[in-house]
Amino acid sequence: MTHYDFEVTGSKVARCHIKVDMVNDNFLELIGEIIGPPDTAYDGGKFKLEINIPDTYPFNPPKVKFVTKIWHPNISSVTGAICLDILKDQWAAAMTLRTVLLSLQALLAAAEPDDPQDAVVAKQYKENRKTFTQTARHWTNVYANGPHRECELEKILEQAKNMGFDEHKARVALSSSDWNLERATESLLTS
Amino acid sequence: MAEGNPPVESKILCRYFVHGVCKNGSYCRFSHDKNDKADNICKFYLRGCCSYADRCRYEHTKPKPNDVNRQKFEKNVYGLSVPPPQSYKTENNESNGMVSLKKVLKGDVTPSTPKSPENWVNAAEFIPGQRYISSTVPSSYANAATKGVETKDLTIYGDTDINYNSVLCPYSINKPCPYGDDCEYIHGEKCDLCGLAILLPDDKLQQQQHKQECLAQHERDMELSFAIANSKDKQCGICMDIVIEKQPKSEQRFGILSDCTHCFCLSCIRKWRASKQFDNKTIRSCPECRIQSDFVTPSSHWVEKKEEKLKLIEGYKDALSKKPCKYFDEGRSECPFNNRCFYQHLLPDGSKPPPSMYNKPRRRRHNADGELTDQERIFLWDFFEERQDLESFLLFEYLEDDLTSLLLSLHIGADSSDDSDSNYW
Repeated sequence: MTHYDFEVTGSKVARCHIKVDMVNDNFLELIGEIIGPPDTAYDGGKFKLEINIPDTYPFNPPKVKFVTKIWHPNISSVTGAICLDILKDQWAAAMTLRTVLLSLQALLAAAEPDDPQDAVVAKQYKENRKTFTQTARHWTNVYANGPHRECELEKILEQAKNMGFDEHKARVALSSSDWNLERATESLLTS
Repeated sequence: MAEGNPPVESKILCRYFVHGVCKNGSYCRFSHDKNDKADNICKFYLRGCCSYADRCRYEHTKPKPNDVNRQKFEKNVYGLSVPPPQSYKTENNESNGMVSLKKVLKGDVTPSTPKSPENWVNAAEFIPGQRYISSTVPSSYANAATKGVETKDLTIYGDTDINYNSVLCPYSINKPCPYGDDCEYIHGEKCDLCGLAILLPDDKLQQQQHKQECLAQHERDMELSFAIANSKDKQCGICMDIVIEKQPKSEQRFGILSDCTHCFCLSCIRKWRASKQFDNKTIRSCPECRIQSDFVTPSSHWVEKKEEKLKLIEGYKDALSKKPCKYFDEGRSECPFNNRCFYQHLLPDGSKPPPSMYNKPRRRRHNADGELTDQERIFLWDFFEERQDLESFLLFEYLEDDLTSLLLSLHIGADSSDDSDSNYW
């Protein structure tokens, strides 16, 4: 268990804006938190992660997923599942929770749309980067306490809410349809 | 030797006889006469180091001259098998058949026949690790055999005509000699390296030889201490433990990767390389830097420098090449590493296996179409080569070309035979 001790109490953790807390008294279930990297759509957001340590750690990677909702091509906007090679087949035994969280931070800064987890987000990222950035910033603001508000998008969302739709569902539908209210309403009604 | 000899009359009472348990009976070397005195003098007292002091069950008295125990006293006190200087000797030594070393060294004494059993008790004490010198010559069968021949047996102290002034006093080597300046033996000069007063002042050759030995020993010690110092704080990148502080002691071993300088303990890196859930390339690469290494070398110390690593690997391969390969099993079975295995591949008669042993006929199998095809033999080593060699890469292209032409010919063949299932392969 010394492995985790070292990682969790490591002094470098604080400076990198990442942290790890225990859920219970054991080290097998942890809650991680990373701050969105500056100069990105996720700037200033606090993203919570669920970390499960397998018995075979560090010979197998920890199971990590986002608890905080996030709009990112490599992270599922529905489940929070992460598509990152080091959490799968590129894991190495010398990696630590610190390196994993830093890698996730780096993933937020540099998305990989060609190897997507969320195809809708990846499509938007590739075809309509401006809308993607606005959406991601809006999601960060709403779900991760990000400091930057997207008033333009909020107005459209307000309209959808006034039509009687649930706020989160409306946000997902609008985000997925490039904030086109008509298409969003259509998909909301058909689903 | 004792059998057939007459019983020996010694004047020291047998201590086993006193308790009625002497197994030697009438052949005992000690006296079975209760009037004789037992040897009850504490030999540690005689050396001045009895830790029981007043509570000792043996006598704490010094033997009187002419006492039989006197010889024992001398034997104990001058236990290093060199007899005491002449001035400390009593006259009765000669009468008891003891011959002073001084005379022996001077060549005054001619080798005599082996001593009669009554003198056995006077024999010089044997101390492990030191040369045994009997109080009389000859001291060995070899010596007895060369009786009358000019003996070189005493050359440890130089030539036979050398005087005892050139014999190094054994007491003075470690600590000051109790006889101080009165000692008739030579007191050596102190060696700077080992701190022992062992250098003969007049013998340049001995000095040089000793210094060389000392220096070599010193270098070995330094190397070892450097190695220990280097390994001191080394942390395994996987378990994060300090390797040389791991418990149990068998865990305190490093697994040295041949192509990078990252530190792991042997058990962790072996476990990582044995894991099944990742592909070969991932587990064979260093968990820190992903540089691939073909094998792990166990080491009790941390080795980082290239030359040292090469030396270590060389030693490791050397050691392995002396152990028989359990997969090869003297030719009864096959080793996946073939003739490149680090372990020893020898046939039962001790000869090396011929190259043909490694080129066994190819295995044949039925492919998906039910055709009999040759199956290539797969050797683990070929995969090692593959990533080092670009040539093998080219080979792949050739294979691909071959495959295309094969498919093409099959296609043509299928067309010509007008098979309705021609698209099926």
